[in-house]
Amino acid sequence: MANPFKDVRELTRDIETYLRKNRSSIYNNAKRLSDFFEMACYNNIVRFYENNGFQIKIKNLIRNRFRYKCTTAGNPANYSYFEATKSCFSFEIRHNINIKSYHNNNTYTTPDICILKSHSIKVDNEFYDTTRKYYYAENRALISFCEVKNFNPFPELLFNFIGVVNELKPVLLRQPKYYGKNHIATSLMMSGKANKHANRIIDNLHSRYHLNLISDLFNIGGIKFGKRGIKKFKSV
Amino acid sequence: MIKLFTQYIPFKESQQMTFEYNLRMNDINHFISGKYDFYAGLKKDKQTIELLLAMSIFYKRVLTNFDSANKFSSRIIFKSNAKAIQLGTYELTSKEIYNLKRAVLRFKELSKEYSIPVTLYHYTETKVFLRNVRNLKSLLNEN
Repeated sequence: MANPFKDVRELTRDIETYLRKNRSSIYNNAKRLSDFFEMACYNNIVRFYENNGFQIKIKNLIRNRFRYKCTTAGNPANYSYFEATKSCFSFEIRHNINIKSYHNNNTYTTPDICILKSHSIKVDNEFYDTTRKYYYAENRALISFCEVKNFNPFPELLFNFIGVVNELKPVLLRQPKYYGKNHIATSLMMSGKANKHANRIIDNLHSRYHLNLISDLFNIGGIKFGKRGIKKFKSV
Repeated sequence: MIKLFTQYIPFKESQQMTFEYNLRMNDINHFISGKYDFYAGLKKDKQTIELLLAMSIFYKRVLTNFDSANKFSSRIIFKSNAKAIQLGTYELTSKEIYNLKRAVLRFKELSKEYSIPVTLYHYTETKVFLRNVRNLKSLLNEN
């Protein structure tokens, strides 16, 4: 077997060949790296429900294509999503949906992934000054949500997430006596591995609040959302 | 050494990769400068370390995201009638998914050919990376 410490030129040559052969797919897809990570997290949430006994269906394919909602704008009816069903209950796992604040009626925020009650998308014709429509879901229709960040965990990121939780699900900012087992609790999903300090903050926030702060998803996402892994997550 | 990779990456993404590379190289230069006995043996392998660092950054920032896209796409394409995933104006077709899979797999094979374990690319702190490189060197030299 070749040893890179003895002849580095050989490895360099092989890498050049590899890059030349794959240059078009690398260049074209490297523009979409963050979208790809969000897609993986979306997939992980669907896996959570699958491994938790839900039946998963892909809904609203458009011209035989899964239309992925990349931005916060747009009518959700024009985008595809997943439906999770268990006994007679069904929920929608959607992407980039505007959610009304828990505290007031005229402010919204858009988590990356939401678990919503079925048929809960509403239209506001007066949100904009123009004829443009604003699509949103009521806060009470929101079961849970996940924020996806393609970063290494750092203190501001972790603490900012608590602000979003306070706006949408403030009830999770204390440890509940009773909680459900069906849905994943509100989660922050991060691609990078936490360093010592970030880990300390994560442990601290976990002990105070009913949330999941999941890091290192690049390396161990598959294990964390496996049948055994999901048992370690907080649920609602 | 990062230029080897960044010439195939769009400017915005390549800038972030170069920034990380330069930052980590500064740390590496400090560690192998001779102040630390533990890393002193790596001084003459600077070129290899540069290449391994560039490979790790490329793997972490580009290929792991490709791998992520594959996982989602496989679910959609193999479990429904969908022919593609539409992201705005861009379409991720089964052919493109195959190309992404091939790019990830070929890189892993290439690493394996040179006895570089993928775990070498899993680190957050530069000194952890350097420690892994040192261990790899000892292992390869023993064999």
